[in-house]
Amino acid sequence: MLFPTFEFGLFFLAVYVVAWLARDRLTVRKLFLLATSYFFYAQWDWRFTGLLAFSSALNYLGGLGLNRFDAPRTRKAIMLAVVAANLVVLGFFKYYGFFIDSLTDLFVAWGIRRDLPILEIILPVGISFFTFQGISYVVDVYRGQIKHPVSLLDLFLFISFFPQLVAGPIVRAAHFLPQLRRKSTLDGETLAYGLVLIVSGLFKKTVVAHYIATDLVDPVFLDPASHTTLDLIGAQYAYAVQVYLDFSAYSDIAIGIAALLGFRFRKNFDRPFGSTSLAQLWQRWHISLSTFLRDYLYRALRGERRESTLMTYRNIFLTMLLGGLWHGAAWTFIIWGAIHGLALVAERHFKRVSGTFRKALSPGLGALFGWLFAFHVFTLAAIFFRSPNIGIAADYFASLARFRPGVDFLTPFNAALIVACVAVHFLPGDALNRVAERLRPLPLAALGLLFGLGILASEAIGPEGVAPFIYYQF
Amino acid sequence: MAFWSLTTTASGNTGLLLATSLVIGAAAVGAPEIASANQDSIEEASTALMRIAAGSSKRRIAVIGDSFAFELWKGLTETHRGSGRYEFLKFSRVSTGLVRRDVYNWNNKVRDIVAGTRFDMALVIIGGNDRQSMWVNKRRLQRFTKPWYRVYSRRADAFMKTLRRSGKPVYWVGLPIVRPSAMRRDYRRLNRVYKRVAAKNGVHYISSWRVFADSHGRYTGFGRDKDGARRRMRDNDGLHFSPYGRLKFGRFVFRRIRRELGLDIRPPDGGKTETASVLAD
Repeated sequence: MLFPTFEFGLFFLAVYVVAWLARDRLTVRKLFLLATSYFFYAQWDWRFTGLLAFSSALNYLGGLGLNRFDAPRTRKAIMLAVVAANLVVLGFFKYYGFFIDSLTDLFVAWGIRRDLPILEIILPVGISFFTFQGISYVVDVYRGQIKHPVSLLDLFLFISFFPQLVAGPIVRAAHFLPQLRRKSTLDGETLAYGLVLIVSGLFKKTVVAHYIATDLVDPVFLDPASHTTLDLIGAQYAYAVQVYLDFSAYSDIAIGIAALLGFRFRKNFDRPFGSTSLAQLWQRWHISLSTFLRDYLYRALRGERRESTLMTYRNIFLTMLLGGLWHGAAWTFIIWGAIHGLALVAERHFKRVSGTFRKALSPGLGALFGWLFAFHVFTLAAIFFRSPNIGIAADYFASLARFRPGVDFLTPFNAALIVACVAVHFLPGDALNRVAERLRPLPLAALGLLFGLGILASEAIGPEGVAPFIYYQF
Repeated sequence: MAFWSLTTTASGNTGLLLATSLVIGAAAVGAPEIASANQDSIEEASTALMRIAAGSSKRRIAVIGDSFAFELWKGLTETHRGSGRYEFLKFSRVSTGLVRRDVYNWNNKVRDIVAGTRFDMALVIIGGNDRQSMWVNKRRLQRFTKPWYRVYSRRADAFMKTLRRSGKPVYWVGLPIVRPSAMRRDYRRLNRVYKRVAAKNGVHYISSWRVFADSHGRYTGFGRDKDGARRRMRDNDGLHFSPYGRLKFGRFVFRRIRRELGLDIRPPDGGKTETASVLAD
């Protein structure tokens, strides 16, 4: 059940009404939200509701065990075992096929003729997200950041809550669980904020991202060798913009829907293309993932001891490499992660050794160079992210290196759209909050009317048909 | 050799002229007997020679349709890379179909292709994006209803008729089996339309359904490559092809069109069909 569809609209309307009717009966409300979340997930594939329940139960039991035992070694063993179990489940569904394919390539290259045990494994929607949420819960309990015992209902609802279940944001247990323990409220500010986010997300996804994808990105990436240089350059920038719009749109809608149900999620994107360094870009892009990687992976790699410079570089690189692998079971994602890792290390090293040079630069020029570096590392690495295999990515770069005149797909409209979408990132932050502030005083009926008009406008302007969100495949 | 010696001894040029005349005369007298004895063989041989001569120039095969057509084109091109015998012309456009004329009007496009392109054969695969309702005269036709089928069949019919007017053989490749069950069901429906309309228009229909199915007829994302190794043939989405899948798809379709390309020639004995060694791949 995709967000920007009539079916989801009806589903959410029903959930909204019943959830607020039950607002004084906390347990009933939570049970209802849990049931609707499982219903939502079952629409993708009912067989995987069992996996979702298993993942939730695994992490719940892990939390119970951590609360029961005080000995540090025992607690560490329990935490590691539960994290490992989570990763084994994720690894099996997501990476088994990739592992077998890669091994087959190796065997064939070595002349070994052997059939490997191939399994037709369907990737459960959202598995990367809910697995990471489960891991964050267990580790937070281990670290003492979640002190209160968590009920089975709360834990199950935290992991399966439908607004963020299939494509994030990766919500932290320490942030969300306390909200489940208290009565939810919906004031004018939250209502306006939620509605603005949903309309903004719909517009970004169904209009802008969809046009960019169908008019430019998809045709060029399908067969890069057939396209002109300008089309290739255009599609490279366009894809970066598309993935931002697509993913931030989903996050906006998810956060907006959660807000309408009385829950507050943190922002997941903060104008990343306005960043003046790659490090800053990663603080503003997919914030829930980058902070997860920082807090659970980087911290684990670093340990408790003080890092040497080389160790810092190693840990940054490994974190980004594994972050790339998280996105998908393919060499292209690994390469994408490695590029970002290397670029972050290079940027960090440059900042360390170029103090004098940077002081000589004006702040504006320094910011410009930083922006150019960050934006182009991102857009060039995105070629790997988008390409279905290394061959296509190699074709893309080879075609970029060859000059081919003319332009077929990069129309003035597409070019203007790309520029506008990047330019918006230089506007002051919290633009949506300001819009919500302006709308807050309006009567409820007027707010509802504007919301309806916003949806209709997106529907009318956008092309027919709904493309799935890119991050559903993760 | 002895004959030439006698004529040279007597009188050089006169003797040569006499000898040549005698040879030509003998040939002229004997020619009808030679012709009548081996007429059939000569005709067979000349036919084969003409075929070989025709086959030795590059055959241009237009591959037309949506992203499946691109995959097929890619598979055919890579399978025949370096052969120099075939040129596969790509007329594919991703995210298009017969339903959404507002996005891309294939019925108009195919007229342009026929008018402006020299090809020896057309391969069509389209319909991957046609599982949607269509707007006709401001009226929305729900997909796979009777009115929808009527309009869709008319469009497929017009498409095929346009290609047939080229006078070249046309092959319509059915949509392959896919993993998502609803999509699989809809692709079967579309294939039934293509098969029926193809039969009506003298278009050859190639079913690709079983190429990526297991022995029970179920979807499988794996198969054997040309070296016999088990490989992933489909992407994780269960729709698109992996590089190995494209090659398999290309080889499969090419096997179906081999006869049309003159790769299977009946020998004079009228018995078996064998592949002419000159044209063999």
